[in-house]
Amino acid sequence: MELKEIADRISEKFAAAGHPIDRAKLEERIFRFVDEFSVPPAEAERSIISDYSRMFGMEIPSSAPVEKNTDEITPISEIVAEQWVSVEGQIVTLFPSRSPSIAQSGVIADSSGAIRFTIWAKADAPVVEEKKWYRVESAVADEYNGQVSLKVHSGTTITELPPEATPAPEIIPIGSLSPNRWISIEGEVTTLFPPRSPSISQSGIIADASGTTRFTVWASAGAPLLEQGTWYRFDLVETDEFNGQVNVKVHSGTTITPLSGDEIPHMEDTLVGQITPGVFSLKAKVVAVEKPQIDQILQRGILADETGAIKFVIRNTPEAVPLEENQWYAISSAVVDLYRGALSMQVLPGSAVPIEEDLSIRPNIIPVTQASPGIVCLRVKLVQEYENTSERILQAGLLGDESGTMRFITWKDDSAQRLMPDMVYGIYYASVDEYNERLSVNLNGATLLPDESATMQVRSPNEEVKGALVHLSPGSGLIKRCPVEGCGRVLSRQNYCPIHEIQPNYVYDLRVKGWLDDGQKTYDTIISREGVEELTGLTLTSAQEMAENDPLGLDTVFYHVNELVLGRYLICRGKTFDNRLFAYNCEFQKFNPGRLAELINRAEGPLHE
Amino acid sequence: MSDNPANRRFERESAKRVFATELREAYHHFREGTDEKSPTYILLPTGERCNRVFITGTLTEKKKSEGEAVFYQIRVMDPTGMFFISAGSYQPEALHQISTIESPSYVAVVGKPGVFQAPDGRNLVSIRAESIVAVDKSVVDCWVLDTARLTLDRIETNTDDPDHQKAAEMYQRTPDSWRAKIKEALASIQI
Repeated sequence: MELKEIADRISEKFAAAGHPIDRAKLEERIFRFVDEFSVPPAEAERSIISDYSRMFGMEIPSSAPVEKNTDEITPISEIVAEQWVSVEGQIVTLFPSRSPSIAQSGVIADSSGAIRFTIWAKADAPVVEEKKWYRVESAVADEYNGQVSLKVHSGTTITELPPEATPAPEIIPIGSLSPNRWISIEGEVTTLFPPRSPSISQSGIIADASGTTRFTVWASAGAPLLEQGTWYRFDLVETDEFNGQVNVKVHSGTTITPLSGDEIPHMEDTLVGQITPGVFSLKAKVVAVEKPQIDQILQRGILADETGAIKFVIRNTPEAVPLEENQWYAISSAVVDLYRGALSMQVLPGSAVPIEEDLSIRPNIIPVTQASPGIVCLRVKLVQEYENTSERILQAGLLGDESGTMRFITWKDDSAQRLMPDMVYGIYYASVDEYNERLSVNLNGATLLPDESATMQVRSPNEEVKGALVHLSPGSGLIKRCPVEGCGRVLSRQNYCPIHEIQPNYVYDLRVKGWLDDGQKTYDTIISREGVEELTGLTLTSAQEMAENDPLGLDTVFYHVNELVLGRYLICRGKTFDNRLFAYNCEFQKFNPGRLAELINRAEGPLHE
Repeated sequence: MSDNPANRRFERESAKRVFATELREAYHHFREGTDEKSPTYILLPTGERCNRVFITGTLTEKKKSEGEAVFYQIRVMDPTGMFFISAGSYQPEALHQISTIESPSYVAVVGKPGVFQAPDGRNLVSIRAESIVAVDKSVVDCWVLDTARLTLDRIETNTDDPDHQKAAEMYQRTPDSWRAKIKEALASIQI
C-alpha cells in the first residue's frame, strides 16, 4: 500500500540519521493527512518530513527528484517531471514525424490518464503501432512549457503486451468523465449541432443515464455519420477540456458501433424526484398540458409522480404525438436538460406508452423556503400585492406560508385567476424560476384550490443575508447594558454608560458584533441574543455561568463565541440599512448539493452552438 | 452616496473569494490614491481588485520562525493548490489562533494578500493573516461553492470595466480558461 511505502521512506530516512520514529504514530499521521484530509501523498510526505526535520534540528531537504523504482509501473496520471518511470499503456495517437532526430511521437494512455511521448531516433526502439499496448521501461519524464512528456532513449525498453495482458476497455458513465483520458463510452446522440468548421465533421450532445457531454467528430477521423436519437458505443475517444468543459473527441483511432435492441443499456425507471440531467425512463402522469406558442413545439406540460414533477416538451416533428392530460405513461429514453436552473424533459416520438394505471397522486407540498427552480406544490396565502407594471400582468406580489415568503406572478390568459386576500390556497404544479438569485413562482397553468376553512400565520418577510463572518469585534459575546429605561447602551468594563455614568445594576445581554461578508459587500452586523443562542447553543444564563466560573470573565464567552462563529458561513435574517445588518434569526449555511450541480453546469460555459 | 471621497462613509473592503491557483498567478499590485494610508490592491487575473481575501482549506504545514520575533508561516491547501500564509507580531489575533491549531486541520483564513519577489525572481503571493480559525469540512465545501460562484461571476459579468480591461492587458490567460480550474475544484467535493 502506498501509505506504508511513505512510512517506510520516512522512518528509514530518520533512522539513518539516528532519530528513530514511532511507527504507529507516523502511520496515523500519514493516514490523517491522506485519508481524512485528502492531501496528496507527495505533499503529506513533504510536510511530515519537514516537521520531523525541524523537531530533530536537521536540515530540511529540498524537493529533490523522487527516485522511483523503475521496475514498478507508474500510473500515467501520477507521472511528474524529473522522474525515471516505467508505464504500461496503449498508443492512442501517433503524430506525423517533425524532425529526423525523432523516430516517433504520439500519446500513450492507461486507465488513469494520457501523456505525450517522444521516441528519439537514436533510441533504436521498435516501431510502435496505434491501438496496441506496450510496456515502456525506464523512460524519462520531463517538462517543457508546463507539459510533462515521456522521452524514450537508448536505455529504454519497449515491449508489446500480449493481448491477454491488456485490460478490456471499460465503459465510463458520461456523468463521471474527467479530462485527458482515452476511454470508451456508450450513449444516445440527443442533439446534433450545425457544422461549424471544415475540420469538424459532426458535433453534438451525447447522453446516458448518468449525464450528458458534448462530442466532436474530427473530419480526419473518417467516422460514419451519427444519427440523432441513436445509441452508439465509442471505443477509444479522448476526453479533453475546451473552454473549460469536458468534451469527447472522436479521432481516427476511435471505433464507433451503433447499438440496437438488447445492446442498448436497459434503464430502470427513475422516480421523478430523483431525475438529474441525462437520459431516463420513468412512469408518470400528465398533470398539465399547455398549447404551444411557437411552431417548433408541439406540446409543453408537466409530468408528475408521488415524488415530484417535471416540465416536459415534445418537439413538432412529423411522427410526434401529443400526450393526454391525466393519463399515465411509461416513457423511455427521455432526455433531461437543465434550463435556467430548472429541469426540462424532452419526450421523443414513440417513446411514451399509455398505461392503464390510474393511481391518484398525493402531491408533495413543500414549504415556500424549500422551493427551487422547477415544478412545485405549495400551500400559501397572499401577503402583498404589487402595483401592476405591465398590461400583460394579471396579478403580481408576494405569497407566503409559515416558513417564509416568495414572489409570484400571474400573466393574463383565459384561465388565470387572482389570489384573494386572507384565503389559503393549495397551489399544484406551479413553475418556479430564478431571476437575479431570487425565486419567483408563476401561477399560470397551475391548479389553485382555495381552502375556505383554513387559516395561516405567514412568517414576516425578513431580509436575508448570506455570507461568511470574517471578523468578530470587541463587544461580542456576553455584554452589560445600561439598566435605565429606554437606554440599554453597552457599558464599558468599568460599568460606565456614556449618558448615565456608572451603573452597578447592569443587565446582561448576548450579541455578536462583526462583519458578515458575501464576497461583494460587507455588512456591519449585529446579531441579537436570539440569533446568538440559535448559533452557539449558549443561553444568557449559561453564558453568565461561564463568565462567572472562569478567571477570564466576559472574555471567555467572547473566545467561545469566536471559536464557534468566526470564519463560518451564516444565513442571517433581519433588517438592513445601507451596509448595516441587524439580524435576529441566524443559522449556519449547510452544504447544498443542488447548488454544486448547478455550478458544475454553469462552469461548463455557454453552449457554443 | 456621494462620489466625493470626503463625503463617502468608510466602507470596509469585502473579502474576495479566490482559489489558490488563481491567487498564485496574480502579480500586478497597485495603490489607490497617493496617500501613504491608501489601500493597496492586487489585481486578480479574473479582473477584480482585491485587498482582502477569505480562504479555507487544509493546513498542511506550520512553521514557527527561529529568530527573536515570533512569526508563523503556514501552508493551506485548497482543491486547486497551495496558499502561503504568514502571521507576525502585527497580527496578534492570528498569531494567537495559529499557535493552537495543529496540522492537518481544516481552517478558514481572513487576510491581506501581497506580492513578493522570491530570490530567483519569481513572484510569490502570500497572505498576511488577520485571523485564522479551525473549521469543519462543511465550511470548506461551502467555500468551494461560494468561490466557484464568485469566480464565475468575475469572468462572466462586467467584463468591460477598468479592472477587467487591466487584467486582460496584464495576464495572458483568457477568462474562460479558469472554468477548468473551477470545475476541478467543484469535482473535488465528495458528497
